[in-house]
Amino acid sequence: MQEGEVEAEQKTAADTTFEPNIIAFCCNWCSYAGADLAGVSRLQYPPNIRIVRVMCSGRVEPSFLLDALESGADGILVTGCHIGDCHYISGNKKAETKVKMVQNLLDMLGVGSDRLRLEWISASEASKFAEVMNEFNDHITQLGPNPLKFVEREPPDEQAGSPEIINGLIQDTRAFDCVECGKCTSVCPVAMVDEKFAPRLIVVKAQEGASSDLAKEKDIWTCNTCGICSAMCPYKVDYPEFIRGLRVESAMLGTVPSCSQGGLLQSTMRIMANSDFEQKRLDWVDEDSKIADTGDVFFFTGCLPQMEVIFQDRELKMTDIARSAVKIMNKAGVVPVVSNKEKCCGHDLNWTGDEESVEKLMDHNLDVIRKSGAKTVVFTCAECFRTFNIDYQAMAEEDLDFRMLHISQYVNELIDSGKLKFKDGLSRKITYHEPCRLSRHCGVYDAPRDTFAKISGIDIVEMENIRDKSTCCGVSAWMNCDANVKKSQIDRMMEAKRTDAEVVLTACPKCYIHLDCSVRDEVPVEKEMVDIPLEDYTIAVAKALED
Amino acid sequence: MSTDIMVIGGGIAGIQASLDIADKGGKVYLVEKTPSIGGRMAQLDKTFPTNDCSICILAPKMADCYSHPNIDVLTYSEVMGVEGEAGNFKVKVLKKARYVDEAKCTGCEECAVKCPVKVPNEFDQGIGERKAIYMPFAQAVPRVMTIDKEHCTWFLKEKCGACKILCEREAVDFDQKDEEVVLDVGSIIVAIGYDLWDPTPATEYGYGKFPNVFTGMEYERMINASGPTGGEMKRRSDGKRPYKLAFIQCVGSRNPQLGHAYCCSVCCMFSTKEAMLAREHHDDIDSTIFYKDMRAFGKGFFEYVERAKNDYGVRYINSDATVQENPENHNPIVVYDVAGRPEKEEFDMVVLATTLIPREGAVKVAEMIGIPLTEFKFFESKDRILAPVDTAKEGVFLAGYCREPMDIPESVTEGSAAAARAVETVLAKGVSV
Repeated sequence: MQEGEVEAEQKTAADTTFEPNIIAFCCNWCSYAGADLAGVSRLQYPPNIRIVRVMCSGRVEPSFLLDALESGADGILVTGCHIGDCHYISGNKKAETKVKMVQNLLDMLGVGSDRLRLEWISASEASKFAEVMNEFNDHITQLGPNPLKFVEREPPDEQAGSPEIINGLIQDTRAFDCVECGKCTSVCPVAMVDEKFAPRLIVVKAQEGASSDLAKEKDIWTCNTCGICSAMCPYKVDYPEFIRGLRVESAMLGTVPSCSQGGLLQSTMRIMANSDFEQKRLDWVDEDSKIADTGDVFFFTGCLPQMEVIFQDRELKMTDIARSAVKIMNKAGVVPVVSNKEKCCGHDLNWTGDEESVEKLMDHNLDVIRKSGAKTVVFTCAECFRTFNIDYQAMAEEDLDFRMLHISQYVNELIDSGKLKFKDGLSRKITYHEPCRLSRHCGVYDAPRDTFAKISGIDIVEMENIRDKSTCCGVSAWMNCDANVKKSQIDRMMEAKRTDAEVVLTACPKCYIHLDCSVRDEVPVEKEMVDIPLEDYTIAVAKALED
Repeated sequence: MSTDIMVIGGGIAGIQASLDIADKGGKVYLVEKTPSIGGRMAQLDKTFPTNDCSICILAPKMADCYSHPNIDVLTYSEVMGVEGEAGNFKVKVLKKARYVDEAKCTGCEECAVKCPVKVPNEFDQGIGERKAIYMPFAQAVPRVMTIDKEHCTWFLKEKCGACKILCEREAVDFDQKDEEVVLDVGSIIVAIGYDLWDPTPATEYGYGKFPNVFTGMEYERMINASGPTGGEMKRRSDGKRPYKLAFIQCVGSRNPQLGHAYCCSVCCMFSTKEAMLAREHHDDIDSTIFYKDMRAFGKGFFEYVERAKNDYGVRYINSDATVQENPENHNPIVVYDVAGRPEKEEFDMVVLATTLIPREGAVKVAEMIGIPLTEFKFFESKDRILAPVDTAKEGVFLAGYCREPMDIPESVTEGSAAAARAVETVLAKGVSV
């Protein structure tokens, strides 16, 4: 559609019948009282604004806002007490940060931040309330309807999780071969801290009588699918896949998984899957980074740009990873394709039972990659790497006709062909935390270690639990982040600290985020015991490059 | 045409086969790779389900075998090539130089006392030490010393020679050369036994990383009165005796992930035996066996397990397990599953019932002779049910663990069966034995 046509259509919509759906979150103490006063003062404001009363504007989670948009709201207002008037001291300041973050996110996704507004309205400002409502209604009417393709949530499917389906799953994942030896439980990092969870019991239940009850089991959402159990299982039961399959059935039965950040990340991904906006993903590209639209090598950035926005209060600088990757490739004379059109790989939706959206994302991403003409796709994220290598490969109807490499594998290739040179006189002692998606899921154990063997001056000291047995960053697919998980994360950080290394490297941005989170605030142990900086593999390699 | 029969492998199956043939009047060449016959059974402390002393019941057979006029025992020798067919095989055998004259040496071991080079003793699973000139074990047959060229100072630096100077019978001969002989035989029995699987790759058990995790065979050597510790169980970390023992079953067996999908067929029973023996050594020892399934299938096996439970207080827990370590005292911590709950328990020592795998050399032997292997590299029978000791090649027979997992009585049975079949073959070729 041409720009003119869009405007024309919006105009007609505005002129004729379009009445926007607007959600206004009002804080109990100021704005809601303001609305009340507007009512008793008989001030007119549009009836199509629905008010949701919250105790404080700070209670409005970012996920509420995306959820409202996903559910078809055309505009969203968040209103609260003026700064300094908050009845909970600083709730409105938090609201400000959150709304700003979501606005940035909406801009990046292409939805546009102007559908979301934050206003301060006190209990006495009845006229301001009516004014803001009228003005926002006009503004949204001008903008036209919410362009998100509204996907009706399907009603629960009674057939889901039927014995036939569960039996198929048992066969496909070799769960049928389980001899109930219990080794999985003895190595499971979740069972170690969560006394209600045991991997063996789920398989046993499945074998005893496959029924839809299994898909309703809470435990299938507790597993963090890290795959230690499968790596140790004598009979190679593919436990992560077994759990993933059950989750798909469970989701069809209507289970809504409880995700961290209130499901914000999953919302972001669903919005990407169900829309076709002009995104703004490439803000991170600085003048030193040389990128192209077409070429042999495609650098798949994954969620790095979103993560930087979403975790901006933690100043994680996630896009440093992307810049480092481009820097490495540029140094080797490679100008990678980095696409503004790229979307999330869908990993987290895939592991929370939403295969449908993953397929949409896959079709889009494969199309983008094909159009770029790339023969090699490089990933800095272990989750994207797994999703492409295993899930896309399984879902796509034809063979993927490009090589898929984790950045560590690609860096090793570049070093071997003499294209990368490193600084002299480096002296760093590092330890390496294994991402489950890269190692146990895809079998890449050595590539990151090999890189440091090739760079003189960087020495790697190993933790106690490595490779098959390496414990986990605790969270996968933004699920099940709780006190138990914190415990295992702290254990892992203590293990890293005990190696006496200067820094712990990970090769997955998610491990980085989760482990960072675990030691960011108060820790249940002496702070020195977990006091070791975290760094991403890609950044560490880029730092070591010759100037 | 030859009526002689070659037996490859001097373990209990090979010894039994040789004795059976020889007693019928047939001539046997028994080829053994190591310096002594006896095989794995010689390494074991006791045998299940009777708790007989293993070497005590084996040694007479070894001696019979060596002194039998119809048996030519070629120790420290390897089969290098096989040609021909049933009734007319030509087998090339390499008799490795042991640098000691077999006829002169009396096995007084005086030379070993003076030898300055110490090497981990392979017969004791590396727990004890032997010298560069050595007798593999106390009851070795033949009682002849062997010089280990890899470690001997004479061969490395052309110095020392203490053994040669010392030997009153002038048996040491540094100039001995490897010798290749070609033997004509009518039939061949393959009884090369098994290798012990090294559990280091299965990192979840911590073998090689945690000092107090042992393999079953290491434990077996330790509790043996003539073993390296004189029958004392000693922790690697501090040399103290253990009070709480854990035995973990199926380490590497029934594990397609590690390439051994088969049941090793003996570890349920030998762990039960080892747990009982621990109690016989010390009254105050507690043993726990972690098992996947208790496969006590043979005659008297179930009763044996019941005896372990009731009379020896052995605790059986139905769960596979993994091992961690308490860094303070190097005590292994066993993690296992009880009704879906991970449980942790600290022990003083963990013994892994590692699986038994086909010999590394099985592939080479199969290629030389021209017989097929199964998917796990065991030798394949002509018919698993009706011709178990026969192979696809006429005149070649199998006996013992190299064919499929089995225990000692079954290996003995197969030794006899293969002997009978081999004798039949040479008779059928028209020559009477």
